[in-house]
Amino acid sequence: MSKNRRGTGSLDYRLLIVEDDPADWELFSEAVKHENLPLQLSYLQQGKEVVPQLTQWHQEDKACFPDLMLLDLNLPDQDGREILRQLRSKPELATLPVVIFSASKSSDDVVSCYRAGCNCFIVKPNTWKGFYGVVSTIFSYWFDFAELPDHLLEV
Amino acid sequence: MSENRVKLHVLLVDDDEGDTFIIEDLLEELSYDLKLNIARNGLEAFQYLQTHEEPDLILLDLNMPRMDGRQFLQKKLTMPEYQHIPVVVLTTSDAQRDIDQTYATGCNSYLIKPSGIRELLKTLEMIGTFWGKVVLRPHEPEDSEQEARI
Repeated sequence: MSKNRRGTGSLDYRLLIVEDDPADWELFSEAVKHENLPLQLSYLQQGKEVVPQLTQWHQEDKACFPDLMLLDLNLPDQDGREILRQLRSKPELATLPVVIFSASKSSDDVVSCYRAGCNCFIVKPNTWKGFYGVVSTIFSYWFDFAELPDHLLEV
Repeated sequence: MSENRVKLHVLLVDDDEGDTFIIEDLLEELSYDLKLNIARNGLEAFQYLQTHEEPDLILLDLNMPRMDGRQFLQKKLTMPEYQHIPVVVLTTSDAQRDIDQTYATGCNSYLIKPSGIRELLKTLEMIGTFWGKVVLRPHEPEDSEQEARI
């Protein structure tokens, strides 16, 4: 059920990963290649870059705006929940689906992330095989199965 | 042995008795334990939430009398005690405007309700895999093994 992205002519989906550890970027990149997923990845390392970058893309470069964002809960500079609250308070960014990715299994963290507006919460697997499986399932669910909001439409 | 099977408690909010009957009929075929409770509209859904054990997930149709899906989502946004319960919209409309507006009202995910039984079974299996196995729910026990078992 791939959708043609308007304006780019590309059939790839865009996934923004907000994660401070570049080693994890490698894992994501390897997972996408290994699973042969039509996904273009972009990365941000700091929480404080998220809202300005998304805003800039939305206003000036819609082709770069992601279809889905994976957000590490525990970035060194900013808590993922605070980033979620900022996103949900801006109409042009509020519908971007956000998957929280975290090493934490604490139910307080899970509850507070759903309350802050995440779409779902996934625990980071600690094996590469588990990692590949999760990336593949995120793709299957969010891009092949679920319907996504369209950010290229004017709000 | 049902101990190792994924268990998912779902509140299905849908006024269409034909559709809910088919889903109930498919429960036995699923590879996981889906405990299903049904509410016929948004108002009944809130009544259920006030008086019963909290579900892991709400499956929500959009077009219902008395309180429709979007009205339910809007009201849910004002109720902190239910904020953390994920809502997956399962509805027949594939109009992009409906999809966008529903995400804007705070649904966690939007799925098209398929018309065929086989496709509906696949949909229910995917819901169980993603929301039952891969995703961590607010009530997941802290010592559970939440490695992706895909």
